[in-house]
Amino acid sequence: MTWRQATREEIYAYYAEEFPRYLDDLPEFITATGPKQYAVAFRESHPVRKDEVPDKDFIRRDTWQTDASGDRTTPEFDDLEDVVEFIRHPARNDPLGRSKFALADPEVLEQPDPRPDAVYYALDHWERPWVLLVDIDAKEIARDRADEMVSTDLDDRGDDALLDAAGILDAAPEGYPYAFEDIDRAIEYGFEVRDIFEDDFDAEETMVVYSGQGVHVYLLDTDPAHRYDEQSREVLNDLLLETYDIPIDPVVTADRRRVARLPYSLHADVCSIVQPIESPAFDVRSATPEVIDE
Amino acid sequence: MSPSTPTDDEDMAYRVAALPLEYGETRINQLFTRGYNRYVVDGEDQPEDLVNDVERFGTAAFKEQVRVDAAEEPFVDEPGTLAVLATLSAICVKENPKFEHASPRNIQVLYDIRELYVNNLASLMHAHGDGSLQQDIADVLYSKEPGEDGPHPGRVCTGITEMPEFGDGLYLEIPMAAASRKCLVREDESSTGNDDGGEILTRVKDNNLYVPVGDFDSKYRDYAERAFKKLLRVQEDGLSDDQLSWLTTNESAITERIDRFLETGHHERIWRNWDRGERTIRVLRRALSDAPDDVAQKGEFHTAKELYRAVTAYDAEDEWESSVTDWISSPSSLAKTLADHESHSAVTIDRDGRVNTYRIGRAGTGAEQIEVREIEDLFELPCMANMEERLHEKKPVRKDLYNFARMVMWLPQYQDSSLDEIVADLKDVFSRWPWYDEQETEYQVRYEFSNTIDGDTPLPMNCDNDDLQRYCIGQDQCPYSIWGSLPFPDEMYEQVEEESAGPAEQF
Repeated sequence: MTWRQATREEIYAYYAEEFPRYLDDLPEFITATGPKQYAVAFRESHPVRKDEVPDKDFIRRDTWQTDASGDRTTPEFDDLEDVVEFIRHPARNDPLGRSKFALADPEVLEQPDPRPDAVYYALDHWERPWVLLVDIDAKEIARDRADEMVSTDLDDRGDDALLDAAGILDAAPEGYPYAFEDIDRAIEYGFEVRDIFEDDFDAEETMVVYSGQGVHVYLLDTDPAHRYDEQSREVLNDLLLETYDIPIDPVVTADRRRVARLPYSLHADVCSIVQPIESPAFDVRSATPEVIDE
Repeated sequence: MSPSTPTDDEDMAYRVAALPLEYGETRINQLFTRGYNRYVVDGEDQPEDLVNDVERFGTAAFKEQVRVDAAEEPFVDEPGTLAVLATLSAICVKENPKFEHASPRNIQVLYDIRELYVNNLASLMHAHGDGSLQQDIADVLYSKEPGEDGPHPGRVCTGITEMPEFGDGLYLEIPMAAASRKCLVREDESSTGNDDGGEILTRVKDNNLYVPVGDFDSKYRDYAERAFKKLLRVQEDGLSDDQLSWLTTNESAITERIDRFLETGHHERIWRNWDRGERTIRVLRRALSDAPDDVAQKGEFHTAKELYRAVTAYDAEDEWESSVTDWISSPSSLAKTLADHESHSAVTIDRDGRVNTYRIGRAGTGAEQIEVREIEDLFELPCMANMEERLHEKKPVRKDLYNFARMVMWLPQYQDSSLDEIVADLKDVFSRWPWYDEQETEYQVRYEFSNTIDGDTPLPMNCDNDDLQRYCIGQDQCPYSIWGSLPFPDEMYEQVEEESAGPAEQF
């Protein structure tokens, strides 16, 4: 099992060879024109065409051009193949085209073609209500665990000191701010949340996605009773955190502008494929792509 | 069919009385018309009945127990009448010359009237109808601000129901899609001692929230406070100058009661936020009286820290007391207040030591206490017993009468009573004596009560009064003292201190 950053070559190989095989498995609401945006993060910042604009390490691209009133006019991607092309060569296939704010063409630069450290899609959607996602992060679980294990006088010394004192930095995967057991715990919580969605919130369509360092739990029903707006989602957050005692990141759920890691994209910091999972017994070791040299 | 109006439709009257902020002036005036119609008999206005009821409502609002009881059992049985009586009482208060320059926000009496209205309305609504009114109100109370997705399309409250699986009592059912943080009821912070929000009491089932109905009651109370303001404004706008002057000319009971509270020094019953220094000192006195002797005592010098400890341990009884205890945030803030009010006769600051020490009020007198449940209990004082005996033989001199009347007017249980009640009780006592004449006694008692000194109630006689000497068994013989043994309120002693140049320990 590899718990390290993927190399540029590995990232390129993954999106060229392995990722296209998963396109048919993507959840059906993830299409070329459904999510309002796709977004890509780079390991190193890349320049844009306009000189005074700072280099970018994260770019969002709309899936549609819109008119003055915000209505859709022209799609940016014809199909998912176009999206894959953008992911593979973001600078060469930037939907902004020749706009001054598009990424600079790699051919005119000494710097190499940027590679996606992470790929995201927008939770806000053109064809269905805003997607509901709950984020459970192993880092949060590890920090809570450290808080309980270590005496409070370390509180002022920052997270790293706390995690170090609790032995978490030394535990596998070494050097990461959590241990594998924290990821396993996040996955367990994820399935607890799914059960809560199904049992108490009458959800029929749910999904748990392994995100690389935690899980995303989706409530995907689109009927009016499940069209939770921001205020309903704040209530959901409070209930999950307090009544059900689940350590979620509440900001993600109630923020319409959020992007989520695209299922089957590569979490390049940990060489893991983001993917829907079926059971708390999911083994994170199985998420390493074939293209990664162990 | 013409639409129903609050004037002729009871359900509509309840809706407008309960949710006036959701309706315009026309509907509110129709509610008032319904209330006024009660005072029309065979086409004839019955203004005296109206004024009597306004006076009854306004004076009842002074009594805490009446206000509290109204939450269980309506004091007025009809929403239109309730709206009329409450708003007209409030107008009588606002028109009192004593409040000419006062902001309504500082007049405690208006808050009392509003509380009686709100409690009364709450208990009326509980008794009325099948709960659909409550559901309408819940739709208003729990609706959320429109968001990016527009308003929630359905009802906010889809039912009021029992949920045995969540515990006893009723719950409001609110779909998650209609939910907002308003629906998250938390355990009372004061009962958990937790100031970062108590446990969430709202429950979830079948994609609905279930909100304990107690939260509805408290949210409605907040709403009704704002609602009352609107009712009052509409009533004020609707009254002509003639009607207003007719009302204030004919009403006397509310005005009389306010005047009496002012005369007897019950500032807290009349004013909100009255003098901060005075309030602080009163609370300190009460806190010191409550504190165990080894912590702090009235009349002893203490550090600000010790006084602060007594204040934090004190269980405030009234809202004004709580506002004072909340406001004293530290020993240093207390020290600063006392320094600011050093000129107050009850405050002495000793700056000679390493730290400043403060003395509040007077030392104990050592006199035996007398519990006064009724006026006859005053005869436990030997001087009063002597007077009682003598009055069987001789008619009283005027000093005897006013001695009696003043003692009674300062007794705590008579502070809230009407003059009529006091006169009746005094006549009852006086009737034991052979010279008793009902008319004469009534006149004499009323005369004593009207006889104030620059608006202040005259102090009761103390043991050093010359006129009392003829009944006195000798102060060195007596285990009692009039000012030390009777349960006079702090206000009386404050008046003593204001009027007396001598040391507070004189008695």
